[in-house]
Amino acid sequence: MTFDVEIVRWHAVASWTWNAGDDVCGICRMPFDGCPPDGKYPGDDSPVVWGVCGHAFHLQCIQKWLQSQAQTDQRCPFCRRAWEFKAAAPSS
Amino acid sequence: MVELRSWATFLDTPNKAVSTTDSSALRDPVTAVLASAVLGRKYERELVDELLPKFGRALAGCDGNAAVTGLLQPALQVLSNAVHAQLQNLADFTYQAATSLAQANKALPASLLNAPAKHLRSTAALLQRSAEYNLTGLLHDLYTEQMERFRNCFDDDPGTIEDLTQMEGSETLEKAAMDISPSRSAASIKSQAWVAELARASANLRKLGLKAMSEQVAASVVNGNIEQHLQAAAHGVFSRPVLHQALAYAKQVPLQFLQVVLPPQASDDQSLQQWQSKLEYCVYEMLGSMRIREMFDIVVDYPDTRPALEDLKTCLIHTNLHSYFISSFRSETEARLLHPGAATKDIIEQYVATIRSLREVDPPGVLLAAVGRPIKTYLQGRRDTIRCIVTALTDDTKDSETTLGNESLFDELGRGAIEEAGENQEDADTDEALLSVAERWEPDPVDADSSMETSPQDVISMLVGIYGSKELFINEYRVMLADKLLAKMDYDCDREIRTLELLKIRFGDSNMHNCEIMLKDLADSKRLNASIKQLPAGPDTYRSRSAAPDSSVDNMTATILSELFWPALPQESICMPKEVDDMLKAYAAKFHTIKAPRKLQWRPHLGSVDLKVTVGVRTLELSVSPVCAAILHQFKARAEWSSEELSASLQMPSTTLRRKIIFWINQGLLLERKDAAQATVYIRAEHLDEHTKHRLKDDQDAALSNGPDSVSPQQQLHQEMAMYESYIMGMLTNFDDGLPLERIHNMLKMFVVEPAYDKTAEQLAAFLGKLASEEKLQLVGSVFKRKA
Amino acid sequence: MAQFPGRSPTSVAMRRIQAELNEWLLHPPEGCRLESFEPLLNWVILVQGPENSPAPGLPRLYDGELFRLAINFGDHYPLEPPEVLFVPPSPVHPHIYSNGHICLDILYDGRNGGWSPALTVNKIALSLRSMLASNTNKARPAGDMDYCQRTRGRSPKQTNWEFDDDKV
Repeated sequence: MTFDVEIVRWHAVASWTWNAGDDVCGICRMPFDGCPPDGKYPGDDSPVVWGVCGHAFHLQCIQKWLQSQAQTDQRCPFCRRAWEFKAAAPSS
Repeated sequence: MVELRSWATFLDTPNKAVSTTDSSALRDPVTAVLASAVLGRKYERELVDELLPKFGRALAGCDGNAAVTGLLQPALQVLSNAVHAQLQNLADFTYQAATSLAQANKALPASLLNAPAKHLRSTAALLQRSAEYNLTGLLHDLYTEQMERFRNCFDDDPGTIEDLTQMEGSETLEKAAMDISPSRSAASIKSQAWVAELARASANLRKLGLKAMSEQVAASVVNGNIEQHLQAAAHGVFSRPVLHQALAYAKQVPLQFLQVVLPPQASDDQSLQQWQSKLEYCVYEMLGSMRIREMFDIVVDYPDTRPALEDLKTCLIHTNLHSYFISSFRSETEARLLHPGAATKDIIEQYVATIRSLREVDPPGVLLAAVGRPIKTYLQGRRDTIRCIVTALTDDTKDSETTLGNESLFDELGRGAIEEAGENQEDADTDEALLSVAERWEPDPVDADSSMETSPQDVISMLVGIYGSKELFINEYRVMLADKLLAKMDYDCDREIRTLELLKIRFGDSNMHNCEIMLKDLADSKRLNASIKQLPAGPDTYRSRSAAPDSSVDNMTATILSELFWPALPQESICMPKEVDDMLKAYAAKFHTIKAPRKLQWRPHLGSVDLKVTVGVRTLELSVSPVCAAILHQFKARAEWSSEELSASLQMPSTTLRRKIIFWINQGLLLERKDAAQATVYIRAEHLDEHTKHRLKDDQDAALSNGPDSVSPQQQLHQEMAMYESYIMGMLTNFDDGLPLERIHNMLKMFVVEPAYDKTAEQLAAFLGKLASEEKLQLVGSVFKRKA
Repeated sequence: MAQFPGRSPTSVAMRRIQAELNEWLLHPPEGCRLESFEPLLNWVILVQGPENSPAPGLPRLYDGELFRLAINFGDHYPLEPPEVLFVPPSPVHPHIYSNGHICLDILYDGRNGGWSPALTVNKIALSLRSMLASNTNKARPAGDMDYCQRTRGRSPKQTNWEFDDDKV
């Protein structure tokens, strides 16, 4: 006797995340998966970046912080190591 | 009879027969004869008709004769009693009796009327005392009857009232209503004999000093006539104006009647004008009261009842019926609308119609504030109110039931947007704007409670304001929008975007920002889905799960959410079939390829699945929820599952499983059995019943919508409040002297923005009560404290 | 809730302060209470003197004392530190002047400063409390009177601090 269940189409629902560990950006204290104070849209428009030290911030936030510091003295707000953008995203 | 005849003969005899000495001797027999004649037998109309003039003439003949004057009082007494008796015994003789009285009056000779004042006074007093009730009643009946004749005359003459009806709405109407010169037919009526009779009767009454009574009765008859007219012409007639016609009628019929009945000096322009004002007021008040009593039905049929509202508006301006309006409409609304049997949707529709109706009647909104409050309060107590409002507001299907008249709330939402834009332009011309506001200003009626909010608001603000906060409304809209968007498989949300644009204009961009992002998620998902489909399958994109087969995502689409901006989604755990799981993982990997470092987290129980199910020779296609699909999928490879095994395999609590699997059992695709140990076993069907196919179609929607578990509103509230528990406990730790409810409420409003705290103080109080019952808090005096 | 473009720096600061306030209410630091946060740019925190001594056998210098800490946020917070000072009477401590100015690097930016936007009021309060807890010498800084004279009416942020012995 036949009994078959064929999936013609599966429409699924997911949510995305930056997967940035800490829930909030250390500078604006807004969630990574939300927007920084200046951003209108989350996600592509409010990217999250990592320093080589492994700390993550909203791109807008870390840029503002770095701009407010002397060119020669750009440090991670968390660990105070010299700030350097991490080239590729961590694939944790 | 014989005695009466003889008395009549006596009266025929010239008055020489009556000497001073005879008079006292004569008095008693006359009285006795007359009394027994009239009272002792059946009334003989002809006889009295015959007697009365003679009586009058006899009186006239003995001018100044003391003896006859002495006779007068008892005779009049008898006459009055006679008339009285006729009224009691023979209702149909009313008119004749009245006429008789009028004739008697007429017969009262000028000499008598010129006689010393004391005679006049005693005559009038006698008439009134002996037959006070009857004289008034008698007059009333007489006037009523004559009034009726007046009315009939006008009814028969199409040139009078008909003309006025046709002039309705035209400019000449106002003029016509003001014009008090007797019309053509009024003049012709006055020439008729019965009109002259009527005039004489009332003139005689005046001569007897009964002017006040006569006028009183006439006024009451006229009122009754107007009332009758309104009852016939206006009751239940809402779709055309009736006020002007009624005013015209009052001027035509009752006023002309009064002109006849009232003393001649009353016909001068000034007092006629006064009478006309009285009659107009009477029309305003009667029609106004009638419309107020009918108000509920008028509101129900709005906007077809606009003419009635327009009439009522005018009536209210000219009268003092505001308090009556408020009490009457309120109690009517409470009795007919605000009861458990009425659907929330209907209450809201009636509320909207009330708002719109009252705005026509009373633009300043004083009445609305007073009568709307009970409806508002009642709606606050209904749990589904907000949802119904949101539905009504955002339903743009033209033929929906929420359409009121020609304009749905959705239309109004759009119109509000345009008006708002217009107002901004107006602001440029500040002086002009101020001037126009000043011109529109009207003082509030004094009988309205001045503490009430009187600013006129549009329907949408009133609806949104039922709960006192637009935040709550917006939040509810967001929840509804989320449900709608999550049910979409085609990403098409043009309609929702249009609605959102309107809501943004009304509530501001920032308040609608979450919703905007939700809609953007749908658009982004659509784009992303297309990109993902174009990615080549291969090791590059699918490196991390090398153990899995190279799953295709061809059969899959997804909606990808920016979760922080969506309402809290129900969490349910379920283990998907491997086939599905592989597909989801493949899709997520492709997403990561495109959007790294972003990743996807699946909400496996959300979404929608199209299935093709083959049972025996039959094949069915249907859309179900992912949970239902996963359950049925388990039976693909295995014909029979015990409840326990299935629950474990799907990693789903058995209670949830049971609730979901019922869908398939109802469809006849799965069967439920008890095994030897009385444990529940599910078995797949071997064949399908004939009617299964039809049933499936009907139930598909139900299967899709039964996704999230239903929870009671109370539970839901507590679940929603639970997220504030840590805030509350933190606050009470910081403020260890305790905080009053109000303060906690305000602090939560101030600090909890993600997501916004949107509860009422009452809801918070209920939740604090719950925390207290759990011994987490205690109420000390008026402050809440942490329990040590 | 989310935001939209064109926000002034002040409202960026306000959002962050709001977020900190939420965190504070959820997890108030030990021994500290928020006395006032109205207006939102000016907080007053009640700091209890630590009840522990820095090491066994040492006296508990501040036990039972209560201090008021004023936090005044500026428009550029958190890119710039807030102004932080004790409301006199300030704790008697070698790094705390009697006018309330505090010699602690994390409170200041600039050349010597140790301010970082990753710091929060919560962390500042904890730092100050541990600064008190670890003290063994209950005395004013050298030149306290002189300093207070010189800085009368000025913000501690205008002082050119030297933090060479911040290990106390």
